[in-house]
Amino acid sequence: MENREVMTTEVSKKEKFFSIVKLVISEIAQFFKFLWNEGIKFPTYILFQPFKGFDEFKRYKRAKMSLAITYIVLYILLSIMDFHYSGFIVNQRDITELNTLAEIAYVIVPLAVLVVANWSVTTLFDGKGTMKDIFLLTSYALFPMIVAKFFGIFVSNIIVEKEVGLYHLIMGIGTFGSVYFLFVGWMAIHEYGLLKCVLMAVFTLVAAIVILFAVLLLFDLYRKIFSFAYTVYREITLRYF
Amino acid sequence: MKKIFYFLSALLLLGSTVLIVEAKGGYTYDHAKKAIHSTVGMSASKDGIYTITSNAWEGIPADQFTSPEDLFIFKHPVTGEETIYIIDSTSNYLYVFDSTLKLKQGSDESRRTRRYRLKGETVDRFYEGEIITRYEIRPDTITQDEYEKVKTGTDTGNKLFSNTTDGVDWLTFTAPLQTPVESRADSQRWYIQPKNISGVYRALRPLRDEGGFIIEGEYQDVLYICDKGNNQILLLDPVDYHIIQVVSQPTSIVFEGKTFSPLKMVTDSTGRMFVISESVYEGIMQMSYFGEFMSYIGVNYTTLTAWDKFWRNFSTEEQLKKQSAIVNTEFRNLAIDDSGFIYTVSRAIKVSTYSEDPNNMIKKINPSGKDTLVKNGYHMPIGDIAFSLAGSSASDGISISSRFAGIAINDYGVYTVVDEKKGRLFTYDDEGNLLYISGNSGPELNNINSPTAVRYQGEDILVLDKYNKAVIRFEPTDIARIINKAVEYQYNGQLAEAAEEWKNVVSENPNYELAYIGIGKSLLNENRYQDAMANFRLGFETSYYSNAYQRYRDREIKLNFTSFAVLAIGAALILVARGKIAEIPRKDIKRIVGED
Repeated sequence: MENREVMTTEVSKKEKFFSIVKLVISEIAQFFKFLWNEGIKFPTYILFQPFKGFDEFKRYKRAKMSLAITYIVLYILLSIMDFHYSGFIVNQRDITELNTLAEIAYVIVPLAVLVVANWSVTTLFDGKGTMKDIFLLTSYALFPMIVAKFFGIFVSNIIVEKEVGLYHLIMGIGTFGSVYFLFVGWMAIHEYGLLKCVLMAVFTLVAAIVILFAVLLLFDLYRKIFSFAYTVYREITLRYF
Repeated sequence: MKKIFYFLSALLLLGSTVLIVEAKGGYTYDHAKKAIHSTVGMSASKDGIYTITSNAWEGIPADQFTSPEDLFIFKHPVTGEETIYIIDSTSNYLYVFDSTLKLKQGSDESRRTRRYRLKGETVDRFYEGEIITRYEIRPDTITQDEYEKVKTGTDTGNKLFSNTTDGVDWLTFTAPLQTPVESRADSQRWYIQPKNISGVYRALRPLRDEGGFIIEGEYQDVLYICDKGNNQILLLDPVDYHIIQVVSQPTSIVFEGKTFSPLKMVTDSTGRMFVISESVYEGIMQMSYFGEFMSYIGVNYTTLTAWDKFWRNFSTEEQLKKQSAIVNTEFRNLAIDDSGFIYTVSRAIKVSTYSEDPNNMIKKINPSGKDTLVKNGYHMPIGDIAFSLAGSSASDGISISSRFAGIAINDYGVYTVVDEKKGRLFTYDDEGNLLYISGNSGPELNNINSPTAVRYQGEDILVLDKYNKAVIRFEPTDIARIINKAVEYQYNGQLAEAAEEWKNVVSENPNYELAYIGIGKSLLNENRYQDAMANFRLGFETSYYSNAYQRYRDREIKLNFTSFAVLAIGAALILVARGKIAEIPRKDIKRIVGED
C-alpha cells in the first residue's frame, strides 16, 4: 500500500514535470500561433479584405497594443539592419555614419507627428476614432513596409545593377501597401466616406507640417538661448580664468 | 520642482546636440562630398613664380605688363622646342618666352629694338628679348577688300600707319609692291596697332596655294591674335610677325546685328577656327580656313522649369523686368586636344533668379559640335562641391558654384580647370574623376587671385594671374606624380601597371578612394572577382562592383549547378505533391489514411 503510494507520488512527480513541459511547449506554440495569426495573418487579411478586416480591427478590438509596439520596434530594427546588411548595389552608406538614435527618431518622430496630426484633425471633424485607435492603425500600417524591407534586404544582396528595379519594385509595393492600409484604415476607423477621407488626409499633412514648424521654431529659439548662454560662459571664462 | 528639474535637464541634453556648421575647405572630395585634407595635388615651386619684380623677368617693362590676358605654349612638332606667348591687353604687347619663361632672344638684330607708338608720339626703347608691339601688314598678301575692313589703333579714323605717316590710303599702301620685301625702306612698311588683345594661339595648318587648294604635306605655321578692340583676328607669321591674313566681322546673315569681339580661339588640324566672341551667346563660332563664319557649336541651352513658366505667367511686365534676365551663358575659355576635341569652360547656367545649374560648365565638344564629356566620377565636374555659406557667397547672393577661367589638357586626357572664385585648380581625368585640387587665393605671390589662363607644360601647370601680374608654375607633388602615372597607364589600357601605381597611391594616402577602383579593375581583369568586389566596395564604385558580382554569381552557379538543380527540382516536386494532396477531398484523405 505504502509502496504503491510512493509509486503514485513518483509517477505524479514525473507527470507533473511532463505536464509542465507540455504546458510550456503549448504556451510557446500558442505564442507563435498568436504571432502567426494576429501578427502576420491578420494584417494580411486586412490588406486583402479591408472592410471586414477593419471591422474586426476596431469593433471586436482584435488590434493589440503589444503587436503595435512590436511593429514599431521591428521597423526600427529593420532600418538599422538595412543600413548594415543591405547589398552594396543599393546601399553605399558608410557604416560609421550609422546613428542608432537618429534611426529611432526617424521612425518615432514622423509616426508620433502623424498620429497627433490625424487625431487633432479628426476630432474637429467628428471622426469616430480615438487616439488609441489611430496609434494602433498607424503602427499596424508599418506591416507592409516591414515585410518589404525584410525581403528587400535579402534581395538586395543577390542582385546586380541591372536588376535594381526588382528591389525598388518590392520596396515600392511595401510603401504603397502601407499608404493603402493607412488610408483605408482612416476611412474605417473614423467612419468617413472616400472624399471626406481624402480631405482629412490633406488636412492631416498640413497639420503635420504645422506641428513640425512649431517644433523647429521652438528648437531654433532654444538654440539661440543656448548659444547666448554659451557666449556668456565663454566670455566669463576667458576674462577671469 | 521636480518637473522643472526634468525639463531643464532635457533642455540641456537637447542643447548639447546643437550642430555647429563649420566652413568647408579642402583639397579633394571623397564619394560623400567630404573634403580629404591630406591630398595636395600641385604646389607652386619655389623658383617657379615669375613676376615683373622678380629677377627672371628683368627685361620686361613693368608699366607695359599690367593686365596679362592669355598665355599659350607652342611646342614645335619637329624640333620639340617650346615657345611661350603672353599677351597684355592694356599695352597690347606680345611677349615671347622660351620654355623656361626667359624672354626669347630675337633672331633678327633689328627686331630687338622695338619702336612702339602710344597716343601719337613715337618712343624708342630697347628690350633684350622679343616683345612685339605692332604688326607689319604687307600689300603682298592683303587684298583691297581685306584692306577696307582692317581696323587699327585706338581711334577709328586712323588707318594703317608707318614710321613716318598716318592714315595710309590704298594707293600709298600698294605703292611699295614692286620693291622686294627685304629692301623696303622703313617709310614703306605699314603697321597695325591692335587694341585690347585678349587671346593668343599658334598652330600649324595645311598650306594652300594661290587657288586655295591644299598642298599635300606642306604646313603653314600661324600665330593667331584675338584683336578684340578692333573686332578682328590677326594671323601672323611667327618668325617675323607680319600679318598674313585678317579675319574681320563676318558678313553672314546669321551673324547680322552682332559684334564680333574675339576673346579666345583655337584651330583644328585643318585650319578651321573656333572662336569665343564676347556677348555672342549662341555658342562657339566655327570659322573656315579663310575666315568665313560657318556655324555655332556647343550651344549652352537655357530652359525654364515648369514652375518658372507658371510664375512668369502671373508676373507683370514690371516684375519680369526686375528679375535678372535669364540668358544663355557665354563661354569663357577653350582649349583643343590632339584628337580635335574642344574643351570649353563657361559659367553655370542661370536656371531661375535663385538657382543655377552648374553641371555643364565644362564641355568636351566633338568635331560635330556635341558635348561628349564623360562624367563618371563620384560627382559632376563642377569644381567645388561643398561650400561655406559664410563669407564667400554672401556678396553674390545665392550663386555658389565655381567660376572657371581657363582649361588645360595634357597628353593623356587629364584636364585642369582654374577657378577664379577661390583660386583653385581642379584636375580631372578623362572619365571625369576628380584627381586633386591645388592652389588657393590669398595675398602670397604663389596664390591664384585672378587667373586668366592655365596651360600644361609637360607635367607642370602654368597659371597666368592677372592680379599678381605673374606666371606661377605648379609642380605635381609626390602623390600627384604617382596618380598621374596611374592615370596615364589606365588611359593606355595597361591595367596591371596602373594597379601597381594605384597601390603606391594607397600606401601614400589610404583615403584616396579612386585608387581602389584602379586596383579593382586590374583584379577583375584577372578574374579575381571577390578581391575586385572588396576593392570596388572601398572605392564606392557600384557599376564595376555589380559587374564583378555578376561574374562571380554566374561562376558560382555554373560550378554548383547540380546541387542547385536538385534543390530546385526537389522543391518543385514537393510543391506539386502538396498541390495534388490538397486537391483530394478530405474524406478521401481519411479513407486513404485509414481513419474513420
